[in-house]
Amino acid sequence: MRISRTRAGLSVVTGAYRLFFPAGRPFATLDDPTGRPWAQLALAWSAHRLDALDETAAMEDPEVTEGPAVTTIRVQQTSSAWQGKSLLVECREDELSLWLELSGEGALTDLHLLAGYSSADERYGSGWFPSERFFETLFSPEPHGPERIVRPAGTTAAIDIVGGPGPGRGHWFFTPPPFCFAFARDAPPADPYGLPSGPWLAAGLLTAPGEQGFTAFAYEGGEETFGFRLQFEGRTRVSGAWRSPALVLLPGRADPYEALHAHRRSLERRALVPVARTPTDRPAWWREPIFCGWGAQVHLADELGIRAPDLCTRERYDGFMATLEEHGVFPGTVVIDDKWQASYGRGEADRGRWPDLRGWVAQRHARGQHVLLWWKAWDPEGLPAEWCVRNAAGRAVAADPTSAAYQAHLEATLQLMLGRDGYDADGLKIDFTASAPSGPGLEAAGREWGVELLHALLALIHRSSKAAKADALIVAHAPNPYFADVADMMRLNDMLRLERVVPGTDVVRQMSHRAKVAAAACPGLLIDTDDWQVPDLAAWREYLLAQPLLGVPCLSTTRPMWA
Amino acid sequence: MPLYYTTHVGVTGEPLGERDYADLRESWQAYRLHLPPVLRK
Repeated sequence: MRISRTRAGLSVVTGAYRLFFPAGRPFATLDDPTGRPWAQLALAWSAHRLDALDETAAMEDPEVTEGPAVTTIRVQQTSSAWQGKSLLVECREDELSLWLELSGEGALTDLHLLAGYSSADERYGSGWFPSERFFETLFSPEPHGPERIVRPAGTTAAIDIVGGPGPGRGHWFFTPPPFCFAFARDAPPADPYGLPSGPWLAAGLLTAPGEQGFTAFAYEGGEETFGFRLQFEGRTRVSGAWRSPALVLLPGRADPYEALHAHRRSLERRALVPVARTPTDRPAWWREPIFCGWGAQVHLADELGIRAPDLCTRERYDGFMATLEEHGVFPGTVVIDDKWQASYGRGEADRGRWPDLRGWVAQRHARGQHVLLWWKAWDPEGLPAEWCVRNAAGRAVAADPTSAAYQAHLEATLQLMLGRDGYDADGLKIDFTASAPSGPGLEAAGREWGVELLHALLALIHRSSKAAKADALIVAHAPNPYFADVADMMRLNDMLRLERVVPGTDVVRQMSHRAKVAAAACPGLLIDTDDWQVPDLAAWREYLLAQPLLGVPCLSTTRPMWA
Repeated sequence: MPLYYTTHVGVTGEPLGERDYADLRESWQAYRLHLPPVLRK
């Protein structure tokens, strides 16, 4: 790394990038080693409070602290909202990371990274100052269904923990995927599953455990511009000194998946996430092909004109299993899907549908099979409102994992579901993590919010499940490095949004893409390939062959005997 | 646009045939034996 300071400005040159701070300018230029530009990076960021928007009113010259492997640059600033404010840039040979240091008091709403309000330089006027981009393609690891893998960099995208039904919310598949975007200079190809050529620039978050109180990491592209935003929703309180999550830029990556690997390694190097490793003591049965009854439930529901959850009954599942057996198909793992329980918030079987769940599980065990119970994360049905995150009207919005009473309830529930003296099931297929509570008017018992609240819920489920049964298998759809130790297997999730099916969706390429994202984020975990729902029989046949290459095969459909 | 809740397999609702069950059996068997995926005959 070479550092030089001239009248023109401050320069940092490594084998991976060139960073230059022009003297007296409110931006820095980021180029590749040959001088080909990636971006002009805005140095005035905004950290808005509930009671004050943040504008940078003055900016000092960069101060440099050189070290053998790391050079740190501080740009001290005057803020309209904070007593103290500095932008820090940490340069290493193959990456640079940037963050804000603030002092003062206030509840954060939004943190804008590489963009913000500024009136710091009279030559540049005042107003909103984004960064300028010299890349045309944006890669987001957050799937939509069916998705394009890349899109124009002038658009916006969010990596978040929310989604579900309703306009614009059909992105629940990974909650959350890794907090890392990637960019390429060439325009997106016409092929929705194609990638432009590299090199790629990755932009990911580096955040300490416990500090991820945001619900979304957004990329905000415009015409030739870009920036990022973290949504804290007023729930992160700054009192005294505060350091923001860092944005790490990793230039020169070969493709977006390699970019995700590099981002994870960057997190691991700082001990911000569990180090990826393949467990040596993983039970062999975890790799067994899975049958999930949801597809068959939906098929029957359509034929009978009733709701699919009403078809989660012992009688129906006996039929599904008999049909498979009749055709010589033997799944090692069976998932009892939505809705085996009397209420979503409680783990007690609906006695009308499952009069003897323990007995049914025992029958499967006797045949050498294992049983997972579908679990709807967050759903407050059947729970006292005081155990829940509530809105201003007092309505329970979501189960609250920071409520001591809910924690005790969930521990007891999982003991019932998985314990030898309970139903004796073998694990959980966790769904609906995208129903995470979000919004400025909600109240929870504890301080955790956003990503941390979701992590707290999954950690509680994982820990309590293992306490109930040591080899319980926990399947989730949160392929993010921070979540690698609160799940054993990651689902690729639904192939399609049922209300927005696009003919011709290439499910093999789409799900291969998702598997690469999951493997990059959590390389030590198994992948549940899912099977719900394919566009047509031809696609099902293709995906049947592809599944073993991606992870654990899964079947989510069957022809019922009485169909 | 029709609703796409009808399925034996997929949104088209095509039923699985004997050949599909055979492919399913072979695919899973190969997977369990760590063999390459079964190719359609």
